[in-house]
Amino acid sequence: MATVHSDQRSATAALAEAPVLAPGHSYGSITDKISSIVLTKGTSRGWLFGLAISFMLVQVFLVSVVYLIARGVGIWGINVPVGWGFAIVIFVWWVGIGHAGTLISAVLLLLNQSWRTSINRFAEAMTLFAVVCAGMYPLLHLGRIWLFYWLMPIPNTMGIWPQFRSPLLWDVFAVSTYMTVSFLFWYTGLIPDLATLRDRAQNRFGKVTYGILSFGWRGSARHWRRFDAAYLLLAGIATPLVVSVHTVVGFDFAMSIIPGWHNTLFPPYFVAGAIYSGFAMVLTLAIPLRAAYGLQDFITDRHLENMAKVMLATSLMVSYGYVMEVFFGFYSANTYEEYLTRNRMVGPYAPAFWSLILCNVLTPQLLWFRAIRLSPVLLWCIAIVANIGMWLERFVIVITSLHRDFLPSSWGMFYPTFWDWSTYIGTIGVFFFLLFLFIRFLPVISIFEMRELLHKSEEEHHHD
Amino acid sequence: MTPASNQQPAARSPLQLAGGAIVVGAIVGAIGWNQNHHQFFASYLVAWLFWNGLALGSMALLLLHNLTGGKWMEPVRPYLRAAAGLIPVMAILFIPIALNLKQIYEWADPAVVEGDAMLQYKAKFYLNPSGFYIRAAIYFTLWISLVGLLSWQGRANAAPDTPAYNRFRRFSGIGLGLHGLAVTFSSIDWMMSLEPHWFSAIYGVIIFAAQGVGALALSIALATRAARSRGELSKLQIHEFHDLGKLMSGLIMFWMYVQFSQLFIIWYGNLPEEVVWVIRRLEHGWLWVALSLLAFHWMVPFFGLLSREWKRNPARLGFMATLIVVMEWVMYVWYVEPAVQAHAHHGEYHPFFPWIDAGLTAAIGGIWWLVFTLRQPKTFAQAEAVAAKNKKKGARHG
Repeated sequence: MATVHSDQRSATAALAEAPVLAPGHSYGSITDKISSIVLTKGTSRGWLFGLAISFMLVQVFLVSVVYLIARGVGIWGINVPVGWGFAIVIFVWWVGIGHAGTLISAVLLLLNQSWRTSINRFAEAMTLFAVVCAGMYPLLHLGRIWLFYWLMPIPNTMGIWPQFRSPLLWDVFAVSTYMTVSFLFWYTGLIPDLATLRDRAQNRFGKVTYGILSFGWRGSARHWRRFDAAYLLLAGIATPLVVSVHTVVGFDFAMSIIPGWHNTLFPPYFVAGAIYSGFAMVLTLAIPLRAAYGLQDFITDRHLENMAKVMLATSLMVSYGYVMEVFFGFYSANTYEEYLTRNRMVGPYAPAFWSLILCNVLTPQLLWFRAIRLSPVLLWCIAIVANIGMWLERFVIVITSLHRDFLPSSWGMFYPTFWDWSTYIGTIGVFFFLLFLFIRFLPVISIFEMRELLHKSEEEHHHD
Repeated sequence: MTPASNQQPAARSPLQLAGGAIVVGAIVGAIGWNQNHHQFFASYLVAWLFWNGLALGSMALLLLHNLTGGKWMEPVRPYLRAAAGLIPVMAILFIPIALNLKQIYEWADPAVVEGDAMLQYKAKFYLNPSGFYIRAAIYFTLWISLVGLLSWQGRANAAPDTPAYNRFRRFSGIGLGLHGLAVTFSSIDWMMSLEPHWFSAIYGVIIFAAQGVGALALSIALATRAARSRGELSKLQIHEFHDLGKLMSGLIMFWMYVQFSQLFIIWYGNLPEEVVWVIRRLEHGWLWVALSLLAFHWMVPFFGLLSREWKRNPARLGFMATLIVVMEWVMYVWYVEPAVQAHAHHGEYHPFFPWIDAGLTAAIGGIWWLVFTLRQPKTFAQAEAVAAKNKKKGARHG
């Protein structure tokens, strides 16, 4: 029997937490269990239903985008003074969600946290899909989307260069780099598992497809040696990206001198918020996933509890950010900063502000209690609340700072239109559509890393 | 060698060192006092902030370790505990600052406030002497209670996964959160308010990071020294130093990240009320101080510690840690003195060398070291016990 003793749980911290892998598994049972979702179990009715719903939402997205291209960004609620509306709010929301994947995969790998193993694969996939959704917004909000390549510094006959001093351009580089490295990291980790699927596929189509995708992996010692080096190297490259992307997103706001945006705390505060929302989304997906496919042996209560703890810690950091924003609104003794702070709390968008406090500051405090951390249903509800809270946070930051600026004569309100909402809901459809396809066609949990985990734990078991 | 035979000679020389530092520091301080009262108190503030930061940083690391668990911090834990235990001493040494606010902070001088509308406004709800005293009392009450919590934990020595152990864990979580707030607001009170018109929301995080860096570096410097004097290291000990080296480079990277964020955002926004902080610290000779911080508080240790060899070799790791502790002091001078000098000379530049700061740092350091060493028989015994346990384990694993 295999009981897992991870490296971290030493004499001082050997809490009787649930193991990271339920006892009683062998190499074969791990492989069977995970690969069966793709190969043998067939298509379940629930999966088809989910795919159909999300596919319908993809159509909503496509209609919205076609109409947007035909009519221009005027179909959205943006106007003077709120020139940045849902496009930036939802861009930041999706990018934030896209943070947990790389954090779990790269940072926790470097920190030897063995509990990452069963959640890293689909967290990475989630990251990729979230970044796809995020990446569409900067393109859509251009208005003339067909000129998107002007964002790139391409030498051209017009002699036009992008504005290198603009953080928005840094965003282009930050997000596309993040996307590229996340994809490489995800795909590299998939190769040995794709080979497993190739070897176990029942039909010729599966064999050929997974065979091509696995790049001729044979699992020789030399292959593994190179694989390990490449994987670790990619983790090293991906780690600074976890911080850099949302730092640059924070710069998008902080580099301006708009009250409420020009805040030196923004970079780390945005990173903490991103990790918070990313883990909330992983929980949102992991809890139904493990219930639907009976993966409780792999995604154990210990995983849920650890993710809940990360959420609690990052929620406290985000709350610290709110405290500092309010404090310095007054301490700065700057008329505009102070007005902005008051306007957020009692102005026309006050309900959004107070809901965000409820979602991001008060609700996560429930996670102090172990019973709540161990209850999947409650945890799932808190994760949903956190997703909403982080959406509200970006809404409050973007809209309240813009709608009442330095000149009272130019004040105005922002109201999202039907097309704002339909585009947003459409991106959610795109996200889940990709996710459903991923669950059906690729292993949601890393098979070879789970086998490695089993090997390590058995070895330690013998030593003890 | 038994622990006891090792302890006696080791305990005597630090005492002489501490005594010498106090005497020399007091003489330098007296000369400084004779020359300029204002400068004396500003220098005292630098010295006090440096040693206080080491004590507070140690406490933050201990609370963090209580939360995360893991054996990697065990070799430095005794030193961190001894350093955190110095907070009551630092509270007593705070009294000279509290009694001479007017000498240090312009907002505490009614004559200055009278002619300044912004300071009058800020005095209403935050920047006034009574608020300063009340807040300082709250900070020290919290910190001394946390010291009490840590020593209670040390005495209770709860086994993992007992209700008592989990209780300490939860207290540490709450304590760390409150400690973060206390460090933030105390850094506003004690450091940011030296330039009372200036503000930056990330300031508390920078100081929090800096304290952690300094405390970890000091404890690593002491632990590597002790380990080297004990001779050959076990595999496990080398592994622990490797992890500590990683943590240290992670922390200096974090400090650099938050410090750079502040600098970059303020520089880019270029608003007159904010950019004054940057200008004062990057002009004249201060530019060289800033560059030395960039080089030796970040670049050299960070890139040096990327090497596996430097993290696993106690002599080299200890060298980097010592370098960081020294640069930590330079950092406090760089944070505090440009503001003091600008105020004293009404914005005009005068050459400045922090010799009074250095003298008073030695004096307070002497007192700090004295108490630290007196607590050390226990500390050393604990460190020895941990080392012996590790050696046994290492032998079995190897």
